[in-house]
Amino acid sequence: MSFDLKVKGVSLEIHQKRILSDVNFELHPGQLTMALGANGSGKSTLLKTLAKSMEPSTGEISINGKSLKEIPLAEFAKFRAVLTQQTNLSFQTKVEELILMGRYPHFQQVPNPQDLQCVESAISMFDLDSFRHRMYDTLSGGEQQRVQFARVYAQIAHVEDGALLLLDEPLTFLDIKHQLEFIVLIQKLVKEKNRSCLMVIHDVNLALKYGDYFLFMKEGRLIHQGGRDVWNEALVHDVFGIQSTLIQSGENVYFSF
Amino acid sequence: MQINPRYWSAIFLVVAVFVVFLSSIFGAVNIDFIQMLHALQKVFSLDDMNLSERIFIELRLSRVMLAFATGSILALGGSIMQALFRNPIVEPGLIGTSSGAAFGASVFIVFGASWNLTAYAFALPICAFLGALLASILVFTFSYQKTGMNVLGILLVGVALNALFLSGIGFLSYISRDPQARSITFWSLGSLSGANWQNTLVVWSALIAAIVAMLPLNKQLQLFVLGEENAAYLGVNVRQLRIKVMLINVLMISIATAFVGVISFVGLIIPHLYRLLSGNAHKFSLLNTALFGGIFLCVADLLSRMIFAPAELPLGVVTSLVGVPIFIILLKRTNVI
Repeated sequence: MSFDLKVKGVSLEIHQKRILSDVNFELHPGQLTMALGANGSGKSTLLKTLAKSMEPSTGEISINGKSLKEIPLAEFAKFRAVLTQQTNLSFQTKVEELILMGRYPHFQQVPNPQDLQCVESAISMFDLDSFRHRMYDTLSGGEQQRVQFARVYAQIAHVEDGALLLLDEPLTFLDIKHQLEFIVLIQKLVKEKNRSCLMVIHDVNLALKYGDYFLFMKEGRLIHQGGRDVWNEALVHDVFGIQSTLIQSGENVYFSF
Repeated sequence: MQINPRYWSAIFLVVAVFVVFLSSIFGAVNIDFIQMLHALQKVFSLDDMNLSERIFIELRLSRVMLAFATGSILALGGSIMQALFRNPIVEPGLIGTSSGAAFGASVFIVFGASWNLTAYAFALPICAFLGALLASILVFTFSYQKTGMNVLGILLVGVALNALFLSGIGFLSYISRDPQARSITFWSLGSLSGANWQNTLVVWSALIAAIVAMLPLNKQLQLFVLGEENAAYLGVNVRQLRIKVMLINVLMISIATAFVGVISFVGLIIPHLYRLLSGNAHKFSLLNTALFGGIFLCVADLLSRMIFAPAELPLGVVTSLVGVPIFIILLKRTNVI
């Protein structure tokens, strides 16, 4: 199974303003990569360039040697799914219908058996069976995000040979219990389904505990990257401009601010 | 109330046939069922018809069919624009289309005779169509940005241009003679009294073309319920889709409005009523929406002919009289107000 995603020398300018400069990294299947940085550091923009919703001004993103530019958007949607912060619907929609929307890139007018199967597996994976006939607007914020995640999961559920999962601050509006539930689920998904995954996250300690690989952004530059061992107080100061202490207690390692 | 959309199609179809039948019977001259059958038979056998048979075929039936197609177009336009703008208060004419059409028609009514335009067939609808097109193009030009179209911008420019064209119509009424001013008012409230088979066929063609053009786009458009960003993540080319849907809307609304004038409210409330009936808000079947709109306008037209028969109420007055109370009750029931 190969799914090589390479980001080479990517820069992005909007209205003569540099948002990203010379970003280089790779994503590997089965590895949960997390992007961290202060607000406006360019991490969400980086995710959007990977999602093909923004195009780099220079540099190239490639998947298995094929440039992202050469992959049509409709084709890309078959193996790349994106979860955003919070989604407000313009009209009332049933949970089941909403999850099925994740399958829209795969069928023409009527869903195939495979599409329905993906919806069912998303419903059981995210434990949504009791919600399936509810209206989305009647759910709590945490439940809504779970439904959105199920939709995103369903979008690429059938893909065996490499798929890209992009998560743009999916935990932002969740309480701590839901945050933990979610991140465990994400981790499980990435490992079991062997997904290539980039997740933008704010919480340093959640990242440290659950991430495999880290990208640290500052002013549009990727200033540090590496595995769990790159983390230290100097790095946190460098990236976020705050003082912190790294505390080790038993198996747990965390930062105190 | 949860009914499978396929059953809705069947229900709407049956109701549609019934309403067309009913609207064909009643009017200034009532026509019975046997006469209808004879008349229809004579259309195919090309026999000479008597007076009431001719009334039925040439006036009544063409009018009912025009009402149906127009209602369908307005409802469809409302549905696709509400989905596109992610906003339930959008009307298909919001981007200047219907006020532009009314302005074009007013120009013809006031200046047509002195510009020697009155001799040409279809001169009034063509002027209205050009006005609608002009208004829509202006809205798009003013709200165009390099980075794409900004939805709020389009709506705001649309509101502004609507006001501009309405004052243009006001000015034309002011400088015109009395009968012309009456014609303008009459046209601005919508009327099917000019119906003939030529008009009806043009509007039906527009309706069918619009449905055919929308069929491959409808599924993508439904993804707009998740927001444009998520729609794009699901493979939708948002920019292209926006342009295509607006173009389809502008063309079909311009054509319908050109023949029957401005009919308010149908495009706003039918999508709402359909959502309430089908229970699935983001999803609208093109066919069901079209049938529902057609039924509504046929009934409205029947009422406009019957309330003060043999005089006719302007159609726009009836759609508002029927539509506004339904709409308010609907908003109350769904706890919006």
